[in-house]
Amino acid sequence: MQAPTLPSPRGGGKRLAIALRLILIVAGLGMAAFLYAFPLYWLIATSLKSKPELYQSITLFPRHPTLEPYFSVLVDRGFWVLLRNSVIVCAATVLVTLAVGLVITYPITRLSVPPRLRVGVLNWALSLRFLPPVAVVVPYFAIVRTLQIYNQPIALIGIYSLFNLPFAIWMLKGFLAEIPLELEEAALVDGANRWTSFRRVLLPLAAPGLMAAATIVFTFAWSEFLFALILTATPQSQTFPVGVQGLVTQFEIIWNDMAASGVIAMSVPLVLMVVARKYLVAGLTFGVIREK
Amino acid sequence: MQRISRREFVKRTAVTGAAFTSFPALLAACGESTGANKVSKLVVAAVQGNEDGPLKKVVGNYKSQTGIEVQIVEFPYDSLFSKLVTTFQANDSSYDLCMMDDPWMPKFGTMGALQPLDSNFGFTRDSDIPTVVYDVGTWPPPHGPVPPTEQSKAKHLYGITIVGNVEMFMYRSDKSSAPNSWDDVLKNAAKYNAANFYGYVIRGKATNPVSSDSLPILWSFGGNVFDDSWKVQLDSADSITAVDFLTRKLKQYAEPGAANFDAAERSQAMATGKAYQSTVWPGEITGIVEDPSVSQVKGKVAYIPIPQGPSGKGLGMMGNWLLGIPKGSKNGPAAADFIKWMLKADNMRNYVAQGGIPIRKSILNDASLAAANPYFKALAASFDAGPNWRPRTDQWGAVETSYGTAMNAAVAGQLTPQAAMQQAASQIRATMKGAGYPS
Repeated sequence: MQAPTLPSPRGGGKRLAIALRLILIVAGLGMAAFLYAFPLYWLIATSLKSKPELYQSITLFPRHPTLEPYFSVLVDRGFWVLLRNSVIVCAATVLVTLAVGLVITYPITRLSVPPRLRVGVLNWALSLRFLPPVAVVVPYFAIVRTLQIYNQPIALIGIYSLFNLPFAIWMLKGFLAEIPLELEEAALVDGANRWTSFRRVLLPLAAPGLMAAATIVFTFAWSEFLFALILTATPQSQTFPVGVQGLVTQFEIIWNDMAASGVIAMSVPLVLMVVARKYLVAGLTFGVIREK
Repeated sequence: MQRISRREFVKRTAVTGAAFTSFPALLAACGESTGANKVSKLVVAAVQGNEDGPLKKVVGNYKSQTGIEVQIVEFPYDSLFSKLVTTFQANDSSYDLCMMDDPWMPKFGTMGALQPLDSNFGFTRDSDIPTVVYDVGTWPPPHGPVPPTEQSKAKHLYGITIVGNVEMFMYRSDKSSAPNSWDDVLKNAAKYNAANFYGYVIRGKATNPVSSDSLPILWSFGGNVFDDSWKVQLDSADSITAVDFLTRKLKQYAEPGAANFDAAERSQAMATGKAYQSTVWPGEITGIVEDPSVSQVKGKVAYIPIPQGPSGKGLGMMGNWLLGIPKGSKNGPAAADFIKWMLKADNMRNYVAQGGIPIRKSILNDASLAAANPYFKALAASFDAGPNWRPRTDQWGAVETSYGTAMNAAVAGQLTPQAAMQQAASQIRATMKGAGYPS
């Protein structure tokens, strides 16, 4: 009969260290998850509480869950109009930004342009991104007034497009640079002109990049507040964030309506992120290995 | 493809650009020509909260009677002020009417941002409306010091109060009788202060909140921000005594974290039965303290004018919300008609039924309405006593920031009352000197 082997003290210590490390990692991740998720939970829980419940003792769960704050925000306060404006402004911003972004990135990635021009364009785009919005809000206000587009969605669309353009340019540049030139050249050899090869060859291949850029531009535009506040005056053009700030009144903070607004505001980009997540991952990692 | 010359390119670009930029103007011009004949909508820039809630509820009646829709565009307090300033500077026509807190009147009056209601639209004084209501909407101010740049201007009525806000005092009437003086307030605060029950609530948040909370005490103690010749009085002995009373004596019995308390927290503390007494605005009463859906103390709170101080006076503070017509509005006559409609006694009664705060003496003194609105008697008495208004200067925003920041530091215990008032006085003197005042 073979004598049982005892675990060596050294092996036991190693397993203990691994277990300890695992516990620390799980605890750390759990804490991070709690810190990230609890505010979201609290937002949702508060959005399901009625006003009288808010004036009672604080509870972790809504005692009598109600959708009344959502109704109050969207219907009573008329925020559905602001939500609609936000969708229109952000969608138009995406279209304009991508169209202009493609017009700029196509030549610098697909045509033989002088390197100095390419670097100059990219640096110019980057400089726009470094511009603090608050530094230009007053001149923009004056321009918008002069053009008589104050309190019109087109003012926001123009400015959001301008501010998101650098991001789109840099992202699209990475994508377009990854698509082999030979594919387009083959189409040109087969008789296609430049527009056809762009439309039929390049665009389908660049679709994931465009989706990723569109999602991120939409999300950035969705949460913009400063210009929306300054350049709009009525619900005809106000966006959702402008409405939300109005829920802090002089004598009352309408917590449940504010939480409901937060959930609504969060939902749209969240859904978009979920739908386009595979493109986003691709878009954010494309071109990180090889620089052309 | 046809090649074009550089000259032709520049020409075409210029024409296209001009057409593009003038398109919105053409559209706007088209809108004007059709809109000038018949007004179908009035747009009101309003402050969001209990102040504009009743207004939103009665504008439907106006539409059913006149066919004119009244659209209320709401902003928080601070945003409304900055939005109005930018709108007035741009002479924009987005708003036909605007709600204004009364301390904004000097700024807008100095800017010449509003249309005169008396000379343009025939507004006259109504004996059923307190004189002070008209005075507060008049620029330059009909009494008290007038800013140097405004002294030669003719006086006109630019705003009519629709929310008769005067700062008052509230206390738990189920526990004691009304305090007659600030000494009584202090005694009651000491007597009723207990664990989780604040003897007094200080609205101590920086700038406007603590400024509004403390000025009635300052005045009742004989202190002031300026004298009649714009000399700063905040570092006078009476002013420092008043600030000491609030930030040291009363603070002993006040809520923890008073330096961060605003009106929302104060009315919540009162409504949930955690506080004994404080100053109060009518908007807090209608929206929270007397709202049966949230208040646990309805019927247990009484309202009185500001108690007397050592000066022998108890001076409430005006916080009226006025309606004015921006100069840029293209619908001035229709906007004026709406204000007149709001002032009619029957419509004001309906406004009160929706939670509105009236200005007509006949409504404030109506026994049946007073029974349903326990603050009416105190509000009527406050109007009769001639409440103070904040100094009528377009520099008030900067003055209030200096005073309210120093007061907040005193409430927080970061500065002594004397140091706080000396700091505020010094900053305000510099501000006023820079603006051409004889400080």
